[in-house]
Amino acid sequence: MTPLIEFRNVSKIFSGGLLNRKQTVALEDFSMTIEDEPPLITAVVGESGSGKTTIARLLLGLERPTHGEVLYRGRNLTTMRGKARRQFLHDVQFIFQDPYGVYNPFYKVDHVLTKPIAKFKLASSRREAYKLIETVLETVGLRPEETLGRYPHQMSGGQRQRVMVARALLLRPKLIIADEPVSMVDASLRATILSNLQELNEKFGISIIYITHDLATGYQISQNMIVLYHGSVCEAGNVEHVVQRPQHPYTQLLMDSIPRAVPERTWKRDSTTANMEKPAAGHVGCKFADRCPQVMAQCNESQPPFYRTDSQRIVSCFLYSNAPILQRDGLNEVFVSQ
Amino acid sequence: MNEVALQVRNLQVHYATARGPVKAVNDVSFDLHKGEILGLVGESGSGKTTMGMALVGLIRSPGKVVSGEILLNGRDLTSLSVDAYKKVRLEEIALIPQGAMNSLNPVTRIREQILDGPRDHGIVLTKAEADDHVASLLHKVGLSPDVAKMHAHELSGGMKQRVAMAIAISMKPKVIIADEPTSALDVVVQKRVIETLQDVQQELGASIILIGHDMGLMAQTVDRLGVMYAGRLAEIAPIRETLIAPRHPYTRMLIESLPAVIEKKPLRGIAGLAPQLLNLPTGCAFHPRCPQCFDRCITETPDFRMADEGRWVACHLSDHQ
Amino acid sequence: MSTGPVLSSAQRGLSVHSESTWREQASEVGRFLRRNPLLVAGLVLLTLLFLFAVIGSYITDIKDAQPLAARPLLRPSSEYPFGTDKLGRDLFATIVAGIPLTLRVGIVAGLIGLGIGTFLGFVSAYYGGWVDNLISGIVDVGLTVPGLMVLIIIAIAFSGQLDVNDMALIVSALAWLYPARVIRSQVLTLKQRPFVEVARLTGMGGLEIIFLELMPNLLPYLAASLVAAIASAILASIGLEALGLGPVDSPTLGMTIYWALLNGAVINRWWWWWAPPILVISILFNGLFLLSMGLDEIANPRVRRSL
Repeated sequence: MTPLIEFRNVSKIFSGGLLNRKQTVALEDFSMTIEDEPPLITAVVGESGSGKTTIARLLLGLERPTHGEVLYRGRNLTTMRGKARRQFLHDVQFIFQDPYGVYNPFYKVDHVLTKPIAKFKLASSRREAYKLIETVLETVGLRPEETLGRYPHQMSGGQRQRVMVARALLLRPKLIIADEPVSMVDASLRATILSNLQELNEKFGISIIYITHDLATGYQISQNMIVLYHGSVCEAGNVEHVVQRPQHPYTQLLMDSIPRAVPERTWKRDSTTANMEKPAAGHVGCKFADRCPQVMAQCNESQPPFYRTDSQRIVSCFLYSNAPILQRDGLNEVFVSQ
Repeated sequence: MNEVALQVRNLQVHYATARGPVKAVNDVSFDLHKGEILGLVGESGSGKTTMGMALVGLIRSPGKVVSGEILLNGRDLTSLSVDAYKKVRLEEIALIPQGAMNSLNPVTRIREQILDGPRDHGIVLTKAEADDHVASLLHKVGLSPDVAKMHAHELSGGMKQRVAMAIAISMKPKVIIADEPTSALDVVVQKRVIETLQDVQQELGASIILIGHDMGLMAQTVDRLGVMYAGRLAEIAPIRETLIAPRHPYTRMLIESLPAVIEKKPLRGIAGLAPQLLNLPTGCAFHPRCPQCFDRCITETPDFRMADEGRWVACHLSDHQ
Repeated sequence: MSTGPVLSSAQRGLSVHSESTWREQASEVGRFLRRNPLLVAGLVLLTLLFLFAVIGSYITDIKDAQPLAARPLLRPSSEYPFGTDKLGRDLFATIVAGIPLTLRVGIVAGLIGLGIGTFLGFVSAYYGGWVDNLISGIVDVGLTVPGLMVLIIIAIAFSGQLDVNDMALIVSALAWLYPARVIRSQVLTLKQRPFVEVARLTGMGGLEIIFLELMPNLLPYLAASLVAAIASAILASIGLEALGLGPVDSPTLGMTIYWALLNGAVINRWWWWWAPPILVISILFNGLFLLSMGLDEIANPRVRRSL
């Protein structure tokens, strides 16, 4: 069967500013395939400006690639209309970061649940629709009588986000794009929402692309992980490999910077200076070179390819040039697929 | 180290609403020791941000400091007039407010914004003195002196946050309140900014209250930790002991709900919802969500009591020692 | 920077009740009215005017608003509370007749102006591109042209043949420009909110999103703009009428002023001729203005001066 989603050498470049034609590379030459089976959770981890949100928006068709294509069942996403697009909107759902902005303050929260049912004809009567709604609300641990009939401002951020998870489930999609779904939610509720997502994957067979800056939660719920830096993939593969034995200097930096809730002080002082600028289009060499404690001359000359350092991992770093090279569009080969 | 920089006694900060007063801070007492970093952690409705604002006298109608004391340098700040407080603010106690990096003036240069504080306090500097002052402040927060000439939009998030820090320390206060100073920053920048804060503390010999919601950040940064829930302090203790053996169930569950990177484990959140301050549960505000709730918890609000040397808890379980 | 932390929804303790008693609802309304004194003041003034016109129409005969209904230049008395003018019109009847006529011009022109302006503003902001450029271009140019001059020219071209409805149409020709610009900027802001993207991803089309998602959020704003549009339409029509360019046969407020000025009412100290229409007009405008400010406060709580 044609893969559900395919990214083929996708690049996204934003030209900013009126006077200076400075271009920012949000995403560079990114390729990935998402199959129907088996349903997997893939974490896309990076800082702001890494390109992770760009991937989400490209996946949903909210942005067009500057180069390359995004395909849904073999068809170009940007040119899809009518029935095919409708099918896409059904198969691919989303959970956005801001649990308030996604609600139209004029309507009760029921609106975000009834609208998709109406649009996608999931129920033939009002009664049936509400039954469906009650089922999904209960699946995510909300009580319908406490949720329905309320306005968004009458609920907490965590509750609103859970309603959005319920909404995503409503359509029984093949794929859910979760873009920082818990970063604006209280800590005590995060675990609950994330375990809801895990349940959607395990019990309902839905694949999830979990986009986050938080490596720890990415690790907890996903099978595969992609680490992005300034629009390029640094490291990717089986999440156990990437997190337990990080090889890319950036991944290592991330791991060291995560503050752990443990009695020992694991944060160590380091003296590297951080360069905050984003590289402009046309930047030569590895994007991380100017922050890298192990930078070599080669790093400034060309972008390192994907080195496959074990069967389920690639690292884009010249430190590992002994390992075999994997084609950029072969990213999926290192992913867990059971 | 046991000298006290700031004392809070039975502070009550209420907000008047159409449906009655909301007790955002409800009878909170604690000490800030000289030279320490005290963390104040809590979720929505815990009152931690209100606490920070109250300490620097920035509570405005419909909010009001109803009762209690804030003792700094032998004076009760709650008795100060608005003008008197203005003088104390920035000189003796300063706030780096939540979202500070977004409240930098977009039109004026950084230099002007840093000099605003001293100017308001009637300090007159020659151009050379002003330049020096700004340059040294920027240096203290790890920024290049060139930043003085820049505007806010030219700076990254981490740099803006450090400018906010520079503004707060421009008059060398001895107490600094930092409210979520790293919330919009990524992990790597966060670490740098916190390290800067610690450097600043060392240099000024100041004491810091760090307000936030990230237990991990607290674990790696603070000396002691206060946990707030529904406007009250649930627990306060040295950080190591809090992490090794938390006394309050809320603290324990908060720590457990955090994902670890050591190994995969089932994710455990805290069931239930944050309480509505206008409709607080009877007795202990946490009891509906507490797995160890028993009869007394439903009827009687636990007092904030010393459970051990340097540890205070508000929980009936601790009374049953 | 704000002067206090924003209370989280937990702290605001918002009630869950979806059914409230009659008493609770009444006290909600009471509270609402107390918090919006400007709105209430405006409504009160307009209601008084409305009552005056309604009750007045029962007391007198509208036909007396025409010339030769009574002896001319009578001072106010119990028979003729506002006296009569030089042509023998009963001025009380004239005012009572004039209020609804003037209001009609304002409301019709205001509605048409706002309707067209809103629609174009929405379309322009939502679709962007060349549609936006075209509409914004027309609006920007149109707004720089002195409106009253254009109206005067049009009115002169049709002078003598106008009735009240024609007045409304003429005034509305320009009344849509300002709402179009203002609504456009509101929609541009709203468009950024995530719920619009959610709507699009739920399969909703452009017009559906405009009418079902965006417009309901602008209702308080639209109401405030409508009142402002009505007020400016009335002002424009009174202006034209006072210059003599209005419907000559109708006893509108502006025409009354025209006749009064034409016949030298001020110089001759026939105060009962020129004072009532001016008084009525100022009550009308004060009412509309207060109402619009009150609605503005609801639409944009930051503008709020009370509480």
